[in-house]
Amino acid sequence: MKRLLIDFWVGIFVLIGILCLGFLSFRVATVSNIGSASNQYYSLSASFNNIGSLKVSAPVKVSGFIVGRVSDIHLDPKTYQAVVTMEINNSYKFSVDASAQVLTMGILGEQYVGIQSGADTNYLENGESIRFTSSALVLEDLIGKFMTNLNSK
Amino acid sequence: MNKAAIIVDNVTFGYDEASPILKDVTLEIPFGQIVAIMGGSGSGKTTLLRLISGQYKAQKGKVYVLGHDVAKLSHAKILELRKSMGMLFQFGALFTDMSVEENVAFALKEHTNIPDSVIKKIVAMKLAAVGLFGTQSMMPQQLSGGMARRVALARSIALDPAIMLYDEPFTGLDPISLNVASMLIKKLNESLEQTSILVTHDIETTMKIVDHIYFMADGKLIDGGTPKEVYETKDPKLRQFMQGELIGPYNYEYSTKLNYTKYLGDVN
Amino acid sequence: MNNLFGLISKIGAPFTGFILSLGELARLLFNILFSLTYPLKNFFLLIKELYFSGVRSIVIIAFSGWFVGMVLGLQGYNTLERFGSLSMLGSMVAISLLRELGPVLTAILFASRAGSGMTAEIGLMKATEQLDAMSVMAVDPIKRVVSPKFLGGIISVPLLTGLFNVAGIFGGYFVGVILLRLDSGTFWSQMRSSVSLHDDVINGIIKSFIFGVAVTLIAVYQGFVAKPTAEGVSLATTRTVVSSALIVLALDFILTALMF
Repeated sequence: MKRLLIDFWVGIFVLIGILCLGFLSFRVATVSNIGSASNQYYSLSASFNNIGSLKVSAPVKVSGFIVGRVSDIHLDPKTYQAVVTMEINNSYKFSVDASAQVLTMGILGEQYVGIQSGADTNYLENGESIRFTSSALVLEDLIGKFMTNLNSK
Repeated sequence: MNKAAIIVDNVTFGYDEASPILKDVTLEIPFGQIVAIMGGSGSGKTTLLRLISGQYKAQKGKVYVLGHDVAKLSHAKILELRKSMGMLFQFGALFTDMSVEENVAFALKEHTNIPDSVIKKIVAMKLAAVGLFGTQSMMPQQLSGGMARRVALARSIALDPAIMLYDEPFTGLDPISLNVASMLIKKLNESLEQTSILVTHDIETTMKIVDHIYFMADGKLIDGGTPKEVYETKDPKLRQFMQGELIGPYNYEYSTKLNYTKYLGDVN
Repeated sequence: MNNLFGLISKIGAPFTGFILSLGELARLLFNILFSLTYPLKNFFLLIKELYFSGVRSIVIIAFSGWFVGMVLGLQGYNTLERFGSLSMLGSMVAISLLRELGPVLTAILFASRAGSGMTAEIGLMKATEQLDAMSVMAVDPIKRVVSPKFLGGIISVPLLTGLFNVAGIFGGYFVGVILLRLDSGTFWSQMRSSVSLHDDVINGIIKSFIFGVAVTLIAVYQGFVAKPTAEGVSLATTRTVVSSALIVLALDFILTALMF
């Protein structure tokens, strides 16, 4: 009798615990990261003149929808451009004339890479790079331009 | 090596080397005897028991139990040897979270594959042997001191050990419990053909049941002989202990080396 | 010369003491790991320990989690309101809980609720010679008494951490959505989009597992080394709680540095 009661309560405890962990895993977290194995992703790269404060693991978005993440950022020692490598979900393909841009969420928010697809019927393969890029807006540059505009008037 | 159940040969032991608790102790206990080791508190009696049960290892000398050199046995072998030893602790040391039945059945459940229904019967027999049949479902907190001691005795004989070690089994018992306990020790020793060692202060009770008495003082062992010899002894050391005299060869004050002049100061 | 020697020895003593106890701790851990099959064979011993360390901690853990979540909700509301990003409240509450507060607070609460109990039980068993009696009966106390407690502890702590986190998230939900009228949909969807299974949930569980090992190990160790007196046992339980808290916080820093 006593033993059954203890078994019962321990059973309840373990069930509650597992339910909680399940809730955290499936209701609170996004499961997309579960298999970040390379077969589900392919990588693209893009060179930018200025990436602002873009960081590794920043989102890559198309029309505001997340299709991948930034996996690596390094500097090309010859061109002095920043080379951003992105991992893109296999189900999304981009034409060879697609363009990439470093954008900002809100005015002071996090930076991300936005891709706009082009019209070409050939698609970018794993490891290829996006040729058309435009750099991050840097607030100081913007203010600088604004000031020179004011002065010239 | 087989003529005695326990041989303690020239053993020296101390928790730190500088102040040994046992000094050159030699002792031989033949099979089937009940032997008492008596002596003042802190004289090293309990330590001697722990050396025999292999809880401690001697720094010098050898301890043989049933022909095995205890210090040379591996941990697993010592555990094996302990199955043929029972030990009764000063206050019983019953497992407080288990019932009387579970306490007595403990060693059987741990070391044998005997089915539960048979274990129940063995436990009942062991409890009957100490006169406590019917207490199976009680918890240790519900038992009196004397009963707890007897339950502990039933627990320690569960595996029918060849050697029984009693650590002050008579301390704190009322006269009736005392008699019951001493009779039980005698009876068990005969019926199970055990060899028993009793560590105790209680001279009166012990004299009635033992075959041989040793005395311990300052870590040294003195052979007292049979109870009859001890009664008639002329040895001033033994007489002092037997009569409980304050003045004699042993000084019961803490230290004899106190330098009183240090505290009183130089008078001149 | 002799004085100088004594002085330097005095400086060294606490360090050698510390290293010695680390060594004892490691040895104890090894012994426990080698006897872990015992509670699996004697399953009811493990169930009993799960009952004492897990079931009996449910209420305190759920309550603490709930209140911590509510506090996070309130504080987060005040802070995020200044930056106009109240939509992030859900993810803020969830991430703070999953990564840090859940594992750390659960481990500390567990140390004071169940760990101190383990120390006291083992200490008292030692003081009343029950451990000696056991080993004289050729039963290793580490197998019989310690290993079920250890296994029970390291199973309980991650489960309790999960409970703490869920209670905390609902505490934050209660303050944010029900009391302060934020949008329920935003709360959940923002949380889901910013909490990642690997980085936040699984790392948090790994942390709580490691804390569970540390806290139960400290608890049983303190029980073993307790002086067999009433005062010794009470001191040991205090030490369990204090050193568990310190070690959990220190480990948390190291693990955070390694993981995130």
